[in-house]
Amino acid sequence: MDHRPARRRGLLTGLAAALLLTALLSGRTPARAAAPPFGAPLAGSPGPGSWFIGQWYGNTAWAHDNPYPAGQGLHFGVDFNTPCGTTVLAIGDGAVFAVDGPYGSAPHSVVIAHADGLFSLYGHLLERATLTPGQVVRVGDPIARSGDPAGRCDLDPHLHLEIRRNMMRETTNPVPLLRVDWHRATAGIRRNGTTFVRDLDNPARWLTIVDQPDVLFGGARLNDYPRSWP
Amino acid sequence: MRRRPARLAALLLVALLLTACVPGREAVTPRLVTPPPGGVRPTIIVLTSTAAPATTGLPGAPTPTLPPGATRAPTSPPNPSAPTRASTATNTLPRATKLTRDGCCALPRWLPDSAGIAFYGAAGQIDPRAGLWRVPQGGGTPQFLSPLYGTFSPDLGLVAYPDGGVTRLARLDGVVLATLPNGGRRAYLPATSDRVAWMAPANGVPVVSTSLDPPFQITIMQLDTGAISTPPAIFIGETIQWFPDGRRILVNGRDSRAEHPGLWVLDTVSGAATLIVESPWLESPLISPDGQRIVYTATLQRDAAANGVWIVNADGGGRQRLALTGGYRWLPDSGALLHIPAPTDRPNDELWRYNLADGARTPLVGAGQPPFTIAQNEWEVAPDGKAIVYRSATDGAIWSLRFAP
Ligand SMILES: [Zn+2]
Repeated sequence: MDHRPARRRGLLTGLAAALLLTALLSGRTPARAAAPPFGAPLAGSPGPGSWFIGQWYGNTAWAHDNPYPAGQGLHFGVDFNTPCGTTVLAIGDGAVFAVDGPYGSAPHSVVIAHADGLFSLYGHLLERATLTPGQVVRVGDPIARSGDPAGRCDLDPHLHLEIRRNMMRETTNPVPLLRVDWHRATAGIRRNGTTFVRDLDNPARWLTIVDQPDVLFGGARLNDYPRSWP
Repeated sequence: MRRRPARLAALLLVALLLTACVPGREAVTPRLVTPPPGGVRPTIIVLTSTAAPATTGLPGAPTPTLPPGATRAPTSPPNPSAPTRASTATNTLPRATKLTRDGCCALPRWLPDSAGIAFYGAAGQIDPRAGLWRVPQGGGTPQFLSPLYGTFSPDLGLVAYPDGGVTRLARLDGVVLATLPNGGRRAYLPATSDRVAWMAPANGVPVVSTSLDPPFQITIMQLDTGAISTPPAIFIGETIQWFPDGRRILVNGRDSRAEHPGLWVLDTVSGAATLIVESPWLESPLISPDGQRIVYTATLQRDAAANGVWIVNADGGGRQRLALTGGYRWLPDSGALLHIPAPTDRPNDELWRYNLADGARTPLVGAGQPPFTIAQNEWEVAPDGKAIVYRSATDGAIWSLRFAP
C-alpha cells in the first residue's frame, strides 16, 4: 500500500502550520544580536560522563574516510556523544516541522522550524517523539530522548544536530549559531571526528570548527582530494 | 484537490516573505580566523606572564602541589584588560612564542632534539610551496623541508605517504625506499622503523552499523625483506598505535562482531590479541614512552564514577582512575602527564603536570600567564619535556610554549 500521497499532504500541512507559526514567532526574535541565536540541545556542562563532541560539522577525518554520499562527503551536523535516553532540548523558539520525516538520521528524528528560514534537525533519537507538526516549542523545551543510529544503544550513542535552510535542502555549520562553549566541548577527547582532514594542496582551508562549508544535499563531493592527511 | 495550488502558492509566499524579512546571515556569523592575504613576514611574538613571575610550578623547583582531587584554581583570575607584553627577547617563563603567521599552519611536531618544530602548510614569505617546514623553537624564518607528508619516523628521517593505490616510504628528499601495497592507506611506523603496519579492510565481514568504522585486519610489512604478515584478529576501530618495542600494537575498538569493546593489545609476532580493558566508549588512549602503561578516557559509563581519565598497565593490571579531566600527553620520563583541564570556566587554557606516583598536580601555565588557547587538541610535548607546541584557536598560527628552563 502506497502511503506517499497521504504522507505528503501531512508534511505540507505541517510545513504550512510551522511556517505560519514561525512567522508569528519571528516578531519576538531579538533584533540583530552579536550572540548566536540558538541555545544548546543538551543540558549541563560537557564532560566524559555527560556529553562531548564526537564529531564536528564539516570536513572531518571520519567523514573523509567514511564519506556521507548525500552530504558532499562532509559531516553535515554536529554529533554530541551522550548516553541513550538523555533529554534533548529545543535549541530555539519555533514550531515542529516534522516528526520522523524523510530527512535521514534514523531511527527517529525531529525537525523544528525557526525564524530566519532555519530548521533544526535532531537525529538518531531513541523513540518517536510525542510532538505533532505545527506544535509550538520554546527554547529549552524537552522534545525527545537521544539514542543511537543502530537503535541498540550499545554502539555509538549520540545526538546528531543539523541546522538546515533553503527549505531543508542545505545544511550549515551549527557551531557559529549555538551558544555553546565549543572550545571545551570535546572534553579533551581527540578522535577522527574531532580532527579535520587537510587538503595537502590547499592546506589552510576548512581546518577550524568555524570555517566549514555549507552542504547542498545531492551536490558533488567537496573533499575528494588528490593528496590529503590524515 | 483544486485548493492545493493555492495553498502551495500561499506557502511559498510566506516562505519568501520570511526569507526577505529576516536579518542577514552575517548577523550571526562569527569572526573567522583566516590568514591574511599575500605573504606576510612571520613576526616572532613572545608572550610572557603578566602576573607574578612563574617561579612556582616549574619542574625542579620546590613547588606547591595538590593532592588528587583537589580543586584549587592554579592562578589568579586573568585580567582581560591587562596588556600582554610582547617582545623578542625575554627569559621569563612560561613563555609563548608565535612561530608562524596567522592561519599558518597545522600538524606541528617536534624535531627529535627539541630545537625546532616541523609543521605542514605554506609558510614561506616568498616560497609558495605547501609542504613540511621547520622553524627553530624560539622562532625564526621557516625553512622548507619536504613536499611530502604522511607518517614520519621518530627521527623525522623517513616519511610514509599515500600515493594513489600505494604508500611510499621515502626519505624527505624524495628517494623512495619501499612501496607498500596497502591501497594508499595510512601507514604506521614504530619507533624501531624496521617495519610498517596498516589497517587493511576485512572484506566479507558484515558491517554491524555504518556509524562504526569498517572492520579491519592489521597487516605488517618488514622493510628489510618485504615480508608481509596479517595476524588473524579482526577489529572495528579508528586507529592503531605501536608500542615502543615495535612488536605490539594497541587497538582501541571492538571485535569483528562489534562485541567486546575496549583496549586490545595485538602481539604481531604470535598473533595473539588480548583485551586488556573491556569497556565501551574508551577514548584517546596513549601509550607511555617506556611502553609500560596506557592512559585513556572512559566516557558514557553507566557508573558515573567510572567516567574520566584512567591508567592501566600494558598487561591490563594496575588500573586506576586519575584525578584529572581534559586533554593529556605523556612526559618523556613516563612518570607524569601534562594535561589541559577541561571543562573550565577560564577564557584560556591552562597547562598542568600530573605526577603519577603520588597524584600531585602542579600548575605549569595558568590561564592568561601567558594566554593560550589550543585548537582541536593539536599539541605535542617537546622531547626534552620542557615545552609544548600547539596550533592556536585564536589566530590559527603555530606557537611554542616553554615552561621550564
Ligand atoms: Zn552525525
